[in-house]
Amino acid sequence: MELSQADVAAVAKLARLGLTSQDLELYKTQLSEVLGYVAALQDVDTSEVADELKTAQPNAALADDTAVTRQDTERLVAGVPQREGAYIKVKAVFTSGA
Amino acid sequence: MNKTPTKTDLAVPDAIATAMSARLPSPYLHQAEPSPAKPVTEGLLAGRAVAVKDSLVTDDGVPTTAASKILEQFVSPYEATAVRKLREAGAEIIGKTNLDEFAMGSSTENSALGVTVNPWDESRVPGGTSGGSAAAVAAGSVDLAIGSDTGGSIRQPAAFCGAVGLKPTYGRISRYGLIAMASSLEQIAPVARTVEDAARLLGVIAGADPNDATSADEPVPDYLAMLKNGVKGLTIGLPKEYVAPGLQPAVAAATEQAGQTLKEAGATLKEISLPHTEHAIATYYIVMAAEASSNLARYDGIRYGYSAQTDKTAAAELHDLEDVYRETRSRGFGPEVQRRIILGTYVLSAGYYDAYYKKAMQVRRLIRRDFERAFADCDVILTPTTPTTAFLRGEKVDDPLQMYLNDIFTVTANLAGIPGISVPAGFDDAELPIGVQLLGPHFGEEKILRAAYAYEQHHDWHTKRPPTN
Repeated sequence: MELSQADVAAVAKLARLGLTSQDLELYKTQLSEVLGYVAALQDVDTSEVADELKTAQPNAALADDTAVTRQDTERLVAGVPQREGAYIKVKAVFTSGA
Repeated sequence: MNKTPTKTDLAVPDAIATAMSARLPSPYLHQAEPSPAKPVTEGLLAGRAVAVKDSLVTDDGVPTTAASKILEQFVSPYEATAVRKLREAGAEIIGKTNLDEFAMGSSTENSALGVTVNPWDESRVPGGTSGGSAAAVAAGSVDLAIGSDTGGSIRQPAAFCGAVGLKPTYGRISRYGLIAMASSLEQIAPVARTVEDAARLLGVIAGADPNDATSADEPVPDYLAMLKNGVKGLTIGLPKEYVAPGLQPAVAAATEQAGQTLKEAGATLKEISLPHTEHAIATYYIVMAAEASSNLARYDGIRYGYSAQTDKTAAAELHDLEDVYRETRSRGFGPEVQRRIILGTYVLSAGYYDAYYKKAMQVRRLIRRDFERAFADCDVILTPTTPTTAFLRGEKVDDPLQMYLNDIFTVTANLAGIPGISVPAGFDDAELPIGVQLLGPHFGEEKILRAAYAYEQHHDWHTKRPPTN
Protein backbone atom coordinates (compact mmCIF):
# COMPACT_ATOMS: atom_id res chain seq x y z
CA MET A 1 0.00 0.00 0.00
CA GLU A 2 1.91 3.03 -1.23
CA LEU A 3 0.88 6.40 0.12
CA SER A 4 1.95 9.58 -1.58
CA GLN A 5 3.13 12.69 0.26
CA ALA A 6 -0.13 14.31 -0.87
CA ASP A 7 -2.11 11.49 0.80
CA VAL A 8 -0.28 12.05 4.07
CA ALA A 9 -0.67 15.82 3.80
CA ALA A 10 -4.44 15.48 3.23
CA VAL A 11 -4.83 13.28 6.31
CA ALA A 12 -2.58 15.56 8.36
CA LYS A 13 -4.86 18.48 7.54
CA LEU A 14 -7.89 16.48 8.75
CA ALA A 15 -6.00 15.73 11.96
CA ARG A 16 -4.90 19.36 12.39
CA LEU A 17 -1.22 18.46 12.24
CA GLY A 18 1.40 20.46 10.38
CA LEU A 19 4.16 18.38 8.83
CA THR A 20 7.46 19.48 7.31
CA SER A 21 8.41 17.90 3.99
CA GLN A 22 10.88 15.72 5.94
CA ASP A 23 8.04 14.53 8.19
CA LEU A 24 5.84 13.93 5.16
CA GLU A 25 8.49 11.76 3.55
CA LEU A 26 9.22 9.81 6.74
CA TYR A 27 5.58 9.21 7.65
CA LYS A 28 4.77 8.33 4.05
CA THR A 29 7.32 5.51 4.14
CA GLN A 30 6.49 4.28 7.64
CA LEU A 31 2.74 4.42 7.20
CA SER A 32 2.88 2.73 3.80
CA GLU A 33 4.64 -0.13 5.52
CA VAL A 34 2.07 -0.33 8.32
CA LEU A 35 -0.87 -0.09 5.93
CA GLY A 36 0.69 -2.79 3.77
CA TYR A 37 0.84 -5.01 6.83
CA VAL A 38 -2.73 -4.39 7.98
CA ALA A 39 -4.11 -4.84 4.47
CA ALA A 40 -3.95 -8.61 5.13
CA LEU A 41 -7.21 -8.22 7.06
CA GLN A 42 -9.01 -7.89 3.73
CA ASP A 43 -8.63 -11.65 3.22
CA VAL A 44 -10.24 -12.66 6.50
CA ASP A 45 -13.67 -14.20 6.16
CA THR A 46 -15.94 -12.06 8.30
CA SER A 47 -19.25 -13.16 6.77
CA GLU A 48 -20.41 -14.56 10.11
CA VAL A 49 -19.92 -11.28 11.95
CA ALA A 50 -20.88 -8.91 9.16
CA ASP A 51 -23.12 -6.70 11.26
CA GLU A 52 -21.36 -6.82 14.61
CA LEU A 53 -19.60 -3.71 15.73
CA LYS A 54 -20.30 -4.05 19.43
CA THR A 55 -17.22 -4.21 21.62
CA ALA A 56 -17.48 -4.11 25.40
CA GLN A 57 -20.09 -6.03 27.28
CA PRO A 58 -23.44 -4.23 27.39
CA ASN A 59 -23.81 -1.86 30.29
CA ALA A 60 -27.07 -0.06 30.78
CA ALA A 61 -25.70 2.43 33.28
CA LEU A 62 -26.94 5.91 32.54
CA ALA A 63 -26.64 8.93 34.76
CA ASP A 64 -29.81 10.51 36.16
CA ASP A 65 -30.94 13.48 34.12
CA THR A 66 -30.69 15.98 36.97
CA ALA A 67 -28.96 19.32 37.03
CA VAL A 68 -26.12 19.85 39.47
CA THR A 69 -24.36 23.03 40.47
CA ARG A 70 -20.60 22.77 40.44
CA GLN A 71 -18.52 24.61 43.00
CA ASP A 72 -15.19 24.08 41.27
CA THR A 73 -15.57 26.20 38.13
CA GLU A 74 -12.46 28.23 38.85
CA ARG A 75 -10.44 25.09 39.32
CA LEU A 76 -11.74 23.67 36.04
CA VAL A 77 -10.78 26.76 34.04
CA ALA A 78 -7.52 27.45 35.84
CA GLY A 79 -5.56 25.90 32.98
CA VAL A 80 -7.21 27.84 30.15
CA PRO A 81 -4.39 29.38 28.12
CA GLN A 82 -6.25 32.57 27.14
CA ARG A 83 -9.08 33.91 29.26
CA GLU A 84 -10.96 37.13 29.55
CA GLY A 85 -13.00 37.09 32.75
CA ALA A 86 -15.59 34.37 32.42
CA TYR A 87 -14.74 33.76 28.76
CA ILE A 88 -12.26 31.51 27.01
CA LYS A 89 -10.63 33.61 24.32
CA VAL A 90 -10.14 32.16 20.84
CA LYS A 91 -9.31 33.45 17.39
CA ALA A 92 -12.26 34.30 15.16
CA VAL A 93 -14.26 31.25 14.15
CA PHE A 94 -15.59 33.01 11.08
CA THR A 95 -13.08 34.94 9.02
CA SER A 96 -14.09 37.52 6.45
CA GLY A 97 -14.79 36.04 3.04
CA ALA A 98 -15.55 32.61 4.54
CA MET B 1 8.81 -10.46 53.41
CA ASN B 2 10.89 -7.32 53.89
CA LYS B 3 9.56 -4.45 55.94
CA THR B 4 7.62 -2.11 53.65
CA PRO B 5 9.79 0.96 53.14
CA THR B 6 8.45 4.18 54.66
CA LYS B 7 8.77 7.51 52.86
CA THR B 8 11.88 8.43 54.85
CA ASP B 9 13.88 5.29 54.31
CA LEU B 10 13.29 4.89 50.56
CA ALA B 11 16.75 5.16 49.06
CA VAL B 12 15.47 6.95 46.00
CA PRO B 13 14.02 10.42 46.77
CA ASP B 14 17.15 12.62 46.61
CA ALA B 15 18.38 10.69 43.64
CA ILE B 16 15.05 11.24 41.88
CA ALA B 17 15.10 14.97 42.53
CA THR B 18 18.61 15.21 41.15
CA ALA B 19 17.76 12.95 38.27
CA MET B 20 14.76 15.03 37.29
CA SER B 21 16.72 18.23 37.20
CA ALA B 22 19.57 16.65 35.26
CA ARG B 23 17.28 14.47 33.14
CA LEU B 24 19.17 11.40 34.25
CA PRO B 25 17.32 8.14 33.78
CA SER B 26 14.63 7.60 36.37
CA PRO B 27 11.38 5.68 36.60
CA TYR B 28 9.74 8.89 37.87
CA LEU B 29 8.62 12.13 36.22
CA HIS B 30 7.50 13.79 39.44
CA GLN B 31 7.51 13.04 43.08
CA ALA B 32 4.82 14.05 45.55
CA GLU B 33 5.80 16.30 48.45
CA PRO B 34 6.39 14.27 51.61
CA SER B 35 3.17 14.28 53.55
CA PRO B 36 3.28 15.93 56.98
CA ALA B 37 0.26 13.88 58.14
CA LYS B 38 0.95 11.00 60.43
CA PRO B 39 1.15 7.58 58.76
CA VAL B 40 -2.12 5.80 58.06
CA THR B 41 -2.64 2.58 59.97
CA GLU B 42 -5.96 1.45 58.59
CA GLY B 43 -6.83 0.08 55.19
CA LEU B 44 -5.63 -2.75 52.97
CA LEU B 45 -2.69 -0.62 51.80
CA ALA B 46 -2.07 1.20 55.08
CA GLY B 47 1.24 3.01 55.01
CA ARG B 48 2.38 1.42 51.74
CA ALA B 49 3.96 3.48 49.02
CA VAL B 50 2.47 3.26 45.53
CA ALA B 51 3.78 4.78 42.31
CA VAL B 52 1.26 5.86 39.67
CA LYS B 53 1.74 6.07 35.90
CA ASP B 54 1.60 9.67 34.75
CA SER B 55 -1.41 9.00 32.53
CA LEU B 56 -3.68 8.81 35.58
CA VAL B 57 -4.76 12.20 36.83
CA THR B 58 -3.93 13.11 40.42
CA ASP B 59 -5.13 16.31 42.05
CA ASP B 60 -2.49 16.80 44.72
CA GLY B 61 -0.72 19.59 42.87
CA VAL B 62 1.67 17.25 41.07
CA PRO B 63 1.30 17.61 37.28
CA THR B 64 -0.17 14.90 35.07
CA THR B 65 1.68 15.01 31.79
CA ALA B 66 1.08 11.76 29.89
CA ALA B 67 4.85 12.20 29.22
CA SER B 68 3.94 14.78 26.59
CA LYS B 69 5.03 18.37 26.04
CA ILE B 70 1.39 19.19 25.37
CA LEU B 71 0.56 18.48 29.03
CA GLU B 72 3.92 19.27 30.61
CA GLN B 73 2.45 21.93 32.92
CA PHE B 74 -1.02 20.45 33.26
CA VAL B 75 -2.34 20.21 36.81
CA SER B 76 -5.53 18.19 36.92
CA PRO B 77 -8.63 19.57 38.68
CA TYR B 78 -9.80 16.07 39.53
CA GLU B 79 -8.42 12.70 40.51
CA ALA B 80 -8.77 9.27 38.95
CA THR B 81 -11.17 6.94 40.78
CA ALA B 82 -8.45 4.29 41.02
CA VAL B 83 -6.08 6.77 42.70
CA ARG B 84 -8.78 7.92 45.09
CA LYS B 85 -9.42 4.29 46.05
CA LEU B 86 -5.71 3.75 46.69
CA ARG B 87 -5.63 6.73 49.03
CA GLU B 88 -8.81 5.58 50.79
CA ALA B 89 -7.12 2.23 51.38
CA GLY B 90 -4.30 4.03 53.16
CA ALA B 91 -1.72 4.07 50.37
CA GLU B 92 0.74 6.90 49.95
CA ILE B 93 1.12 8.01 46.33
CA ILE B 94 4.81 8.79 46.18
CA GLY B 95 5.26 9.73 42.57
CA LYS B 96 4.15 9.66 38.94
CA THR B 97 6.04 7.34 36.69
CA ASN B 98 7.36 7.72 33.17
CA LEU B 99 5.61 6.25 30.14
CA ASP B 100 5.62 6.35 26.37
CA GLU B 101 3.88 9.60 25.39
CA PHE B 102 0.11 9.19 25.61
CA ALA B 103 0.65 5.48 26.20
CA MET B 104 1.82 4.93 22.62
CA GLY B 105 4.81 2.66 22.34
CA SER B 106 6.43 -0.47 23.69
CA SER B 107 9.59 0.77 25.33
CA THR B 108 9.03 4.09 27.18
CA GLU B 109 11.49 5.58 24.65
CA ASN B 110 8.68 7.74 23.28
CA SER B 111 8.47 9.80 26.47
CA ALA B 112 8.99 13.49 25.76
CA LEU B 113 9.85 14.26 29.35
CA GLY B 114 12.23 11.65 30.70
CA VAL B 115 14.32 8.56 30.18
CA THR B 116 13.77 5.27 31.97
CA VAL B 117 16.10 2.30 31.69
CA ASN B 118 15.70 -1.34 32.57
CA PRO B 119 17.06 -1.81 36.12
CA TRP B 120 18.47 -5.23 35.12
CA ASP B 121 20.57 -3.74 32.29
CA GLU B 122 20.72 -0.01 31.74
CA SER B 123 21.49 -0.39 28.04
CA ARG B 124 18.04 -1.93 27.63
CA VAL B 125 14.48 -0.70 27.68
CA PRO B 126 12.16 -1.34 30.62
CA GLY B 127 9.36 -1.99 28.14
CA GLY B 128 6.30 0.21 27.70
CA THR B 129 4.15 1.96 27.95
CA SER B 130 4.15 1.46 31.74
CA GLY B 131 7.95 1.27 31.80
CA GLY B 132 8.32 3.68 34.70
CA SER B 133 5.92 1.77 36.94
CA ALA B 134 7.51 -1.58 36.15
CA ALA B 135 11.05 -0.22 36.58
CA ALA B 136 10.14 1.42 39.89
CA VAL B 137 8.92 -1.92 41.23
CA ALA B 138 11.87 -3.86 39.81
CA ALA B 139 14.39 -1.37 41.19
CA GLY B 140 12.80 -1.68 44.60
CA SER B 141 11.78 1.94 45.17
CA VAL B 142 8.20 0.67 45.63
CA ASP B 143 6.59 -2.76 45.90
CA LEU B 144 3.37 -1.54 44.32
CA ALA B 145 2.59 0.52 41.26
CA ILE B 146 -0.25 1.27 38.89
CA GLY B 147 -0.03 1.52 35.14
CA SER B 148 -2.37 0.87 32.26
CA ASP B 149 -2.63 -1.77 29.56
CA THR B 150 -4.05 -1.12 26.09
CA GLY B 151 -2.15 -3.72 24.07
CA GLY B 152 0.24 -5.15 26.65
CA SER B 153 1.45 -1.99 28.33
CA ILE B 154 1.63 -3.47 31.83
CA ARG B 155 2.32 -7.09 30.94
CA GLN B 156 5.24 -6.47 28.60
CA PRO B 157 7.17 -4.13 30.92
CA ALA B 158 6.43 -6.47 33.82
CA ALA B 159 7.98 -9.29 31.78
CA PHE B 160 11.01 -7.18 30.80
CA CYS B 161 11.55 -6.04 34.40
CA GLY B 162 10.86 -9.28 36.28
CA ALA B 163 7.63 -8.11 37.93
CA VAL B 164 4.02 -9.24 38.07
CA GLY B 165 1.73 -7.23 35.77
CA LEU B 166 -2.03 -7.75 35.63
CA LYS B 167 -4.42 -6.48 32.97
CA PRO B 168 -7.95 -6.90 34.29
CA THR B 169 -11.10 -7.70 32.33
CA TYR B 170 -12.33 -4.69 30.39
CA GLY B 171 -14.69 -2.86 32.71
CA ARG B 172 -13.22 -4.32 35.91
CA ILE B 173 -11.55 -1.07 36.92
CA SER B 174 -13.00 2.39 36.32
CA ARG B 175 -11.24 4.34 33.58
CA TYR B 176 -12.36 7.65 35.08
CA GLY B 177 -9.19 9.69 35.31
CA LEU B 178 -7.14 7.55 32.94
CA ILE B 179 -6.11 9.88 30.12
CA ALA B 180 -7.98 8.33 27.22
CA MET B 181 -6.05 6.76 24.39
CA ALA B 182 -8.03 3.76 23.07
CA SER B 183 -11.24 3.67 25.04
CA SER B 184 -12.46 0.18 24.11
CA LEU B 185 -9.08 -1.46 24.75
CA GLU B 186 -7.50 0.08 27.82
CA GLN B 187 -7.63 -0.69 31.52
CA ILE B 188 -5.78 0.59 34.53
CA ALA B 189 -3.50 -2.20 35.68
CA PRO B 190 -1.48 -3.11 38.79
CA VAL B 191 2.20 -4.09 38.77
CA ALA B 192 3.88 -5.54 41.85
CA ARG B 193 6.70 -7.80 43.03
CA THR B 194 4.36 -10.67 43.94
CA VAL B 195 1.09 -12.18 42.76
CA GLU B 196 -0.38 -11.55 46.21
CA ASP B 197 0.33 -7.82 46.03
CA ALA B 198 -1.07 -7.64 42.49
CA ALA B 199 -4.25 -9.31 43.79
CA ARG B 200 -4.33 -6.89 46.72
CA LEU B 201 -4.07 -3.86 44.44
CA LEU B 202 -6.73 -5.24 42.12
CA GLY B 203 -9.14 -5.74 45.00
CA VAL B 204 -8.66 -2.15 46.12
CA ILE B 205 -9.18 -0.43 42.77
CA ALA B 206 -11.73 -2.71 41.07
CA GLY B 207 -15.45 -2.04 40.98
CA ALA B 208 -18.27 -0.19 39.25
CA ASP B 209 -18.09 3.58 39.05
CA PRO B 210 -20.93 5.91 38.07
CA ASN B 211 -18.31 8.16 36.49
CA ASP B 212 -17.36 5.45 33.98
CA ALA B 213 -20.26 4.06 31.98
CA THR B 214 -18.05 1.23 30.71
CA SER B 215 -17.24 -0.03 34.20
CA ALA B 216 -19.04 -3.26 34.95
CA ASP B 217 -21.57 -3.89 37.70
CA GLU B 218 -19.85 -7.20 38.34
CA PRO B 219 -19.21 -7.64 42.10
CA VAL B 220 -15.58 -7.64 43.23
CA PRO B 221 -14.65 -11.00 44.80
CA ASP B 222 -12.10 -11.33 47.59
CA TYR B 223 -9.16 -12.10 45.33
CA LEU B 224 -6.77 -12.55 48.26
CA ALA B 225 -8.95 -15.20 49.88
CA MET B 226 -9.06 -17.21 46.64
CA LEU B 227 -5.35 -17.06 45.87
CA LYS B 228 -4.33 -20.30 47.52
CA ASN B 229 -6.99 -22.53 45.97
CA GLY B 230 -4.31 -24.20 43.86
CA VAL B 231 -4.55 -25.62 40.36
CA LYS B 232 -5.79 -29.18 40.94
CA GLY B 233 -8.53 -29.79 38.44
CA LEU B 234 -7.68 -26.72 36.39
CA THR B 235 -7.15 -27.21 32.65
CA ILE B 236 -4.46 -25.05 31.10
CA GLY B 237 -4.78 -24.36 27.39
CA LEU B 238 -1.66 -24.09 25.25
CA PRO B 239 -2.54 -22.25 22.03
CA LYS B 240 -0.65 -23.67 19.11
CA GLU B 241 -0.66 -20.31 17.31
CA TYR B 242 1.31 -18.52 20.03
CA VAL B 243 4.65 -18.94 18.39
CA ALA B 244 6.15 -16.08 16.44
CA PRO B 245 9.02 -15.80 14.05
CA GLY B 246 11.73 -14.50 16.33
CA LEU B 247 10.42 -16.21 19.49
CA GLN B 248 13.56 -16.39 21.64
CA PRO B 249 14.37 -20.02 22.52
CA ALA B 250 14.84 -19.16 26.21
CA VAL B 251 11.35 -17.64 26.29
CA ALA B 252 9.81 -20.67 24.58
CA ALA B 253 11.63 -22.97 27.01
CA ALA B 254 10.50 -20.96 30.05
CA THR B 255 6.90 -21.14 28.85
CA GLU B 256 7.08 -24.86 28.38
CA GLN B 257 8.71 -25.24 31.78
CA ALA B 258 5.95 -23.17 33.37
CA GLY B 259 3.40 -25.56 31.87
CA GLN B 260 5.25 -28.53 33.32
CA THR B 261 5.42 -26.89 36.74
CA LEU B 262 1.67 -26.28 36.71
CA LYS B 263 1.08 -29.86 35.62
CA GLU B 264 3.17 -31.13 38.54
CA ALA B 265 1.05 -28.89 40.77
CA GLY B 266 -2.07 -30.72 39.62
CA ALA B 267 -3.25 -28.98 36.47
CA THR B 268 -4.03 -30.63 33.14
CA LEU B 269 -2.39 -29.30 29.99
CA LYS B 270 -4.30 -29.23 26.71
CA GLU B 271 -3.47 -27.95 23.26
CA ILE B 272 -6.03 -25.46 21.99
CA SER B 273 -6.44 -23.31 18.93
CA LEU B 274 -7.02 -19.57 18.58
CA PRO B 275 -7.24 -19.45 14.79
CA HIS B 276 -7.42 -15.69 14.25
CA THR B 277 -4.26 -14.93 16.25
CA GLU B 278 -2.27 -14.03 13.12
CA HIS B 279 -4.56 -11.07 12.48
CA ALA B 280 -4.37 -9.64 15.98
CA ILE B 281 -1.66 -7.04 15.45
CA ALA B 282 -3.26 -5.65 12.29
CA THR B 283 -6.67 -5.54 14.00
CA TYR B 284 -5.24 -3.91 17.10
CA TYR B 285 -3.30 -1.19 15.32
CA ILE B 286 -6.29 -0.16 13.22
CA VAL B 287 -8.76 -0.07 16.12
CA MET B 288 -6.31 1.53 18.56
CA ALA B 289 -5.09 4.18 16.13
CA ALA B 290 -8.66 5.05 15.14
CA GLU B 291 -9.74 5.47 18.76
CA ALA B 292 -6.56 7.34 19.70
CA SER B 293 -6.90 9.80 16.84
CA SER B 294 -10.40 10.52 18.04
CA ASN B 295 -9.44 10.82 21.72
CA LEU B 296 -6.50 13.09 21.07
CA ALA B 297 -8.61 15.57 19.10
CA ARG B 298 -9.29 17.31 22.43
CA TYR B 299 -5.74 18.67 22.63
CA ASP B 300 -6.28 21.89 20.77
CA GLY B 301 -4.63 24.57 22.90
CA ILE B 302 -7.95 26.14 23.90
CA ARG B 303 -9.02 24.77 27.30
CA TYR B 304 -5.89 23.31 28.91
CA GLY B 305 -2.35 22.23 28.22
CA TYR B 306 0.26 23.76 25.98
CA SER B 307 -1.09 26.31 23.53
CA ALA B 308 0.61 27.91 20.56
CA GLN B 309 -1.36 31.03 21.53
CA THR B 310 0.90 31.60 24.51
CA ASP B 311 4.09 30.45 22.81
CA LYS B 312 6.12 33.40 21.54
CA THR B 313 7.95 31.23 19.03
CA ALA B 314 4.62 30.37 17.36
CA ALA B 315 3.13 33.87 17.18
CA ALA B 316 4.07 34.51 13.54
CA GLU B 317 2.18 31.38 12.39
CA LEU B 318 -1.13 32.14 14.08
CA HIS B 319 -3.59 33.91 11.79
CA ASP B 320 -6.74 31.91 12.41
CA LEU B 321 -8.20 29.23 14.64
CA GLU B 322 -7.02 26.37 12.48
CA ASP B 323 -3.47 27.70 12.81
CA VAL B 324 -3.84 27.54 16.61
CA TYR B 325 -4.93 23.91 16.47
CA ARG B 326 -2.24 22.94 14.00
CA GLU B 327 0.66 24.71 15.69
CA THR B 328 -0.37 23.56 19.16
CA ARG B 329 -0.63 19.95 18.12
CA SER B 330 2.42 19.85 15.87
CA ARG B 331 4.62 21.42 18.54
CA GLY B 332 3.04 19.57 21.45
CA PHE B 333 2.89 15.98 20.17
CA GLY B 334 5.89 13.73 19.60
CA PRO B 335 6.48 11.70 16.40
CA GLU B 336 4.88 8.41 17.47
CA VAL B 337 1.76 10.23 18.63
CA GLN B 338 1.56 12.09 15.32
CA ARG B 339 2.13 8.88 13.40
CA ARG B 340 -0.74 7.10 15.17
CA ILE B 341 -3.07 10.06 14.82
CA ILE B 342 -2.41 10.10 11.08
CA LEU B 343 -2.89 6.33 10.82
CA GLY B 344 -6.10 6.53 12.83
CA THR B 345 -7.48 9.45 10.86
CA TYR B 346 -6.69 7.64 7.61
CA VAL B 347 -8.49 4.42 8.56
CA LEU B 348 -11.56 6.36 9.63
CA SER B 349 -11.67 8.69 6.66
CA ALA B 350 -14.30 8.55 3.93
CA GLY B 351 -13.51 5.83 1.44
CA TYR B 352 -11.33 3.86 3.85
CA TYR B 353 -13.59 3.32 6.85
CA ASP B 354 -15.18 0.09 5.54
CA ALA B 355 -11.95 -1.46 4.33
CA TYR B 356 -9.99 -0.77 7.49
CA TYR B 357 -11.93 0.16 10.62
CA LYS B 358 -15.14 -1.73 10.00
CA LYS B 359 -13.22 -4.79 8.84
CA ALA B 360 -10.95 -4.63 11.88
CA MET B 361 -13.93 -4.47 14.22
CA GLN B 362 -15.35 -7.58 12.57
CA VAL B 363 -12.07 -9.48 12.88
CA ARG B 364 -11.94 -8.31 16.50
CA ARG B 365 -15.27 -10.04 17.06
CA LEU B 366 -13.78 -13.25 15.61
CA ILE B 367 -10.76 -13.00 17.93
CA ARG B 368 -13.07 -12.61 20.91
CA ARG B 369 -15.09 -15.60 19.74
CA ASP B 370 -11.89 -17.69 19.49
CA PHE B 371 -11.37 -17.12 23.21
CA GLU B 372 -15.00 -17.79 24.14
CA ARG B 373 -14.75 -21.13 22.36
CA ALA B 374 -11.35 -21.95 23.87
CA PHE B 375 -12.56 -21.28 27.40
CA ALA B 376 -15.24 -23.92 26.92
CA ASP B 377 -12.32 -26.40 26.86
CA CYS B 378 -9.91 -24.92 29.38
CA ASP B 379 -9.83 -22.67 32.44
CA VAL B 380 -6.79 -20.53 31.73
CA ILE B 381 -4.45 -20.16 28.77
CA LEU B 382 -0.65 -20.14 29.09
CA THR B 383 1.55 -18.24 26.61
CA PRO B 384 4.84 -16.35 26.55
CA THR B 385 4.29 -12.68 27.38
CA THR B 386 6.71 -11.33 24.80
CA PRO B 387 8.70 -12.84 21.91
CA THR B 388 12.01 -11.77 23.46
CA THR B 389 13.52 -10.42 26.62
CA ALA B 390 14.21 -6.67 26.88
CA PHE B 391 15.72 -5.22 23.71
CA LEU B 392 18.41 -2.56 23.52
CA ARG B 393 17.56 1.11 23.82
CA GLY B 394 17.42 2.61 20.33
CA GLU B 395 17.15 -0.79 18.65
CA LYS B 396 13.58 -0.45 17.37
CA VAL B 397 12.88 3.26 17.62
CA ASP B 398 13.32 3.88 13.89
CA ASP B 399 11.19 0.95 12.76
CA PRO B 400 7.60 1.40 13.93
CA LEU B 401 6.34 -1.85 12.45
CA GLN B 402 9.08 -3.85 14.23
CA MET B 403 8.12 -2.15 17.46
CA TYR B 404 4.44 -3.01 16.91
CA LEU B 405 5.23 -6.69 16.35
CA ASN B 406 6.49 -6.94 19.95
CA ASP B 407 2.91 -6.92 21.11
CA ILE B 408 2.00 -10.10 19.34
CA PHE B 409 1.13 -12.12 22.45
CA THR B 410 -0.52 -9.36 24.42
CA VAL B 411 -2.92 -7.45 22.11
CA THR B 412 -5.39 -10.34 21.87
CA ALA B 413 -6.44 -9.94 25.51
CA ASN B 414 -7.27 -6.28 24.97
CA LEU B 415 -9.16 -7.00 21.75
CA ALA B 416 -11.21 -9.70 23.49
CA GLY B 417 -11.57 -7.79 26.77
CA ILE B 418 -10.24 -10.71 28.82
CA PRO B 419 -7.86 -10.55 31.79
CA GLY B 420 -4.18 -11.48 31.57
CA ILE B 421 -1.27 -11.63 34.00
CA SER B 422 2.45 -11.75 33.32
CA VAL B 423 4.61 -13.42 35.95
CA PRO B 424 8.39 -13.88 36.27
CA ALA B 425 9.48 -17.20 34.77
CA GLY B 426 13.25 -17.13 34.93
CA PHE B 427 16.13 -15.43 33.19
CA ASP B 428 17.91 -15.83 29.88
CA ASP B 429 21.66 -16.22 29.36
CA ALA B 430 22.14 -12.46 29.57
CA GLU B 431 20.39 -12.57 32.98
CA LEU B 432 17.40 -10.68 31.65
CA PRO B 433 13.96 -11.50 33.08
CA ILE B 434 11.52 -13.69 31.17
CA GLY B 435 7.76 -13.39 31.68
CA VAL B 436 5.00 -15.89 30.95
CA GLN B 437 1.37 -14.98 30.61
CA LEU B 438 -1.85 -16.51 31.86
CA LEU B 439 -5.09 -15.45 30.19
CA GLY B 440 -8.53 -16.03 31.63
CA PRO B 441 -12.20 -15.70 30.67
CA HIS B 442 -14.11 -12.47 31.27
CA PHE B 443 -14.10 -11.68 34.99
CA GLY B 444 -11.94 -14.75 35.53
CA GLU B 445 -9.20 -12.87 37.41
CA GLU B 446 -9.62 -15.29 40.27
CA LYS B 447 -8.55 -18.20 38.05
CA ILE B 448 -5.48 -16.57 36.59
CA LEU B 449 -4.39 -15.26 39.99
CA ARG B 450 -4.78 -18.73 41.47
CA ALA B 451 -2.70 -20.32 38.73
CA ALA B 452 -0.11 -17.54 38.90
CA TYR B 453 0.15 -17.87 42.67
CA ALA B 454 0.52 -21.65 42.47
CA TYR B 455 3.27 -21.26 39.87
CA GLU B 456 5.04 -18.62 42.00
CA GLN B 457 5.26 -21.04 44.95
CA HIS B 458 7.43 -23.38 42.90
CA HIS B 459 10.26 -20.96 42.22
CA ASP B 460 11.89 -17.82 43.59
CA TRP B 461 12.25 -15.70 40.45
CA HIS B 462 10.24 -12.89 42.03
CA THR B 463 12.68 -12.59 44.94
CA LYS B 464 15.61 -11.78 42.68
CA ARG B 465 16.77 -8.16 42.54
CA PRO B 466 18.62 -6.34 39.78
CA PRO B 467 22.31 -5.71 40.44
CA THR B 468 22.74 -2.42 42.33
CA ASN B 469 25.04 0.14 40.78
